[in-house]
Amino acid sequence: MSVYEGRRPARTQPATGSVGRPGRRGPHLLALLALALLALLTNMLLVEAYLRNDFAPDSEPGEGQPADAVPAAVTTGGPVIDVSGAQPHTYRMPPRTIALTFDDGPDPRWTPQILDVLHRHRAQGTFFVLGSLVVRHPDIARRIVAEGHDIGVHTFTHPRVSALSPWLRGLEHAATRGAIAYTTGRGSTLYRPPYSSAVDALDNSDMPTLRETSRQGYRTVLNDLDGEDWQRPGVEAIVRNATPVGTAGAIVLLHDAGGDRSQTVASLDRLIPRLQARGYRFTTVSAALSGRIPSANPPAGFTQRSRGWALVWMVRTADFTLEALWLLLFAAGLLFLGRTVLVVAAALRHARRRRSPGWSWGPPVSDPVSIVVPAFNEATTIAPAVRSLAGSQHPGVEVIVVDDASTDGTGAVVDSLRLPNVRVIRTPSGGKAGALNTGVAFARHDLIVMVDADTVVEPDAVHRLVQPLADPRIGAVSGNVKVGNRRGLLGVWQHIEYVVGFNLDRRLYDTLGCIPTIPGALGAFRRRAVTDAGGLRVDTLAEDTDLTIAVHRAGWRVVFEESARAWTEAPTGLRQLWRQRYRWSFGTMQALWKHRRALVDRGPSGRFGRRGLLLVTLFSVLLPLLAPLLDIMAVYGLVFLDRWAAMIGWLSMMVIQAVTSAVAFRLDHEPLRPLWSLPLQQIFYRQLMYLVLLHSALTALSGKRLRWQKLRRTGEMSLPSPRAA
Amino acid sequence: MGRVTGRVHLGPVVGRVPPIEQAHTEIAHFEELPKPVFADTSGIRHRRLRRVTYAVGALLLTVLIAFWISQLTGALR
Repeated sequence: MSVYEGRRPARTQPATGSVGRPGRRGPHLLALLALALLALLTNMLLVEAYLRNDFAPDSEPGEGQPADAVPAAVTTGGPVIDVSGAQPHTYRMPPRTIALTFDDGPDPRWTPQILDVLHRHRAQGTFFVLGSLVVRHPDIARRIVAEGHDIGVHTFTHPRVSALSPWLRGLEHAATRGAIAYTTGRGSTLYRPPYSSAVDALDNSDMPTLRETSRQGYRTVLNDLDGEDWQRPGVEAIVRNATPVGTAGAIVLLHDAGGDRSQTVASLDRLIPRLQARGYRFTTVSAALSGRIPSANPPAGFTQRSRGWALVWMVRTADFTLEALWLLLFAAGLLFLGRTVLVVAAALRHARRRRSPGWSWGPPVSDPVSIVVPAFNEATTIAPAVRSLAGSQHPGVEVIVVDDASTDGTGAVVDSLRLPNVRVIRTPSGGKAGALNTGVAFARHDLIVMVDADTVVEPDAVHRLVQPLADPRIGAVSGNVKVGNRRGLLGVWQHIEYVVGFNLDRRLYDTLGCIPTIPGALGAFRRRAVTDAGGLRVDTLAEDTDLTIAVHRAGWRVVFEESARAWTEAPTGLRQLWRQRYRWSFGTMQALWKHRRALVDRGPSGRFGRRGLLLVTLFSVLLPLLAPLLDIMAVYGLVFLDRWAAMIGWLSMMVIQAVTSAVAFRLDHEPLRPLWSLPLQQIFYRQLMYLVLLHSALTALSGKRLRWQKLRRTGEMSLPSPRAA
Repeated sequence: MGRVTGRVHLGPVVGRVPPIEQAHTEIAHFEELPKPVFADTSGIRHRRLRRVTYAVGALLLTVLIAFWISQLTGALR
């Protein structure tokens, strides 16, 4: 499909109709914005992945580690440990004193129930919380502190800390301390490492953590008795596990999160009154060791609170971002599936109807046709294009080549063909729309076909193209444009894109009576429709879309004639492709914005506005903007979440696309072989279209004037043999 | 009349059609071409957008860096 250029106009003329090249500052803006967004997105996704403990190493407890580096004073001492000094200090609970400790919370369901039980029995406990859950359930953390219980650090995400590097361990502890400080206003001096048990289970790998946490001001709290409630052994078993022998004091390990904790809640209701009856008191670790270890929760300093503030807001923002991404992904998925179902159903129905033996547009149209070919520096491609047009199998064809001030002898090339029904009109530079208007003005006939200068038509294309004009309500007809140069990956990809676009999307739009674009490569118009639409306008880059919408709004029907085929030269390089897509998407945005009033109009204009504009906005703007999410979230899921679910989801989408494309190829009688590259094409196009749309939107927002650019033409086209049909 | 490109028979009357090259045509001059959609020739919008984008981008990156510095200094303390 040709992208028409003209010379750069004088500065006073704000004419368009040319390919816009990003200005000098454009890429900087886009790069900065893209970089900032990418950095933010990566950060949020990494924070979320970290919060889900997906970075944590294997969480199975290690076995068989040597313990010779653990001081004997520790292995034989009490469960509260301080190794900050030269000599390790350990502390035990006094007799008839129980410190109930609860790990892994706060949990919105179980922690409040446990707090209620403790309150009912006037007992106190010590809660070793996960920072990631404190951030999500700050009210419960506040309630723990408000009701006089101790709150301690149990890391941020429950990793096996001995397997972490020191800095990451430090981050786990500092982040949790910060979360507690911001949420409750209290510092924390008690620490329990995940997967810990009694002191005799300590080994060499635990010593670095013990030393670091002691240096950071923590007292490490292990346990004397493990209720083993995580195994849910039954209420009585938990009570039995948590009951000390004789009058010994004990630190009891229980859990208030991480699964169904109903047995834990029920066991507390039995354990506490039973032991209270034996003279036991239930208190916090710091209260039991009052005077020997510092307060568990002194008022937090400014640094801790502000660090916690930053963390809490980052986690909230990350949570919100991920939720928004899932929501957008869901919307994109719905849009994708909805579009697929709609497009395939409509296309099949459209093809069946149009190909049925009884289908007819009306009496055969054999009125003469004027073919307008706007050209600027198209010397390499124009000869075959004009020859194919002049030789059209339709009575009374005249070809008008409008040479828009070419400097490569385009006009001379056409003249040298010496074709009797071809005229060259040389105009001052005025852009594609101006050239087309000139061509229309010089056209002798009322049926006008517009063709790009790099497009070769099949001998019967023009005749077939004008047949729908037998219906007096039809004002314009779109032809079926195919890629002529399919060499290389880009060529194949564009071939796939064209086949799908023309055989699925266009059929859907045709079924709904709202084809938004008659391609510049091949389209037929009734002169009256062009006049009613006000001719071609120079205020958008997509003059073909602009004209088509205007024709709709003037009350004319626009249809698709699949059997009128033309072969166009597609861009051969990435840069060329980018420019073409940039022009198309920016031009489409211009046309949508320009005709926005059609949404609220009455009559045919309103009908088109509420169907066509809406569908184009949904499928050509919104869906491409959301589409890269499919790949981003697939990669995220593959790395951090359920690999199989992510892979199956992504592959199902690919299969749906492959089937959809196969339907389009079958409808167009094209061999399916090029579809081998469909997965790559889809991934590439999603990112390309996203960036192009972002760039176009920025250009639209900034109101930047566009510079003129020339697309390179190779003139290499290999047309397949004529159709068998 | 010079060269003839076609004849139209209307009963006994024979009309002559002059070639299009000799038709009376004139170049239309438009005082003012319509302004391209979205264009802001003054450049004010572009300047504002650029400033806002730089400011927002720089702010976001600064906040991001400040956050990680605050967390890592706590971790390495």
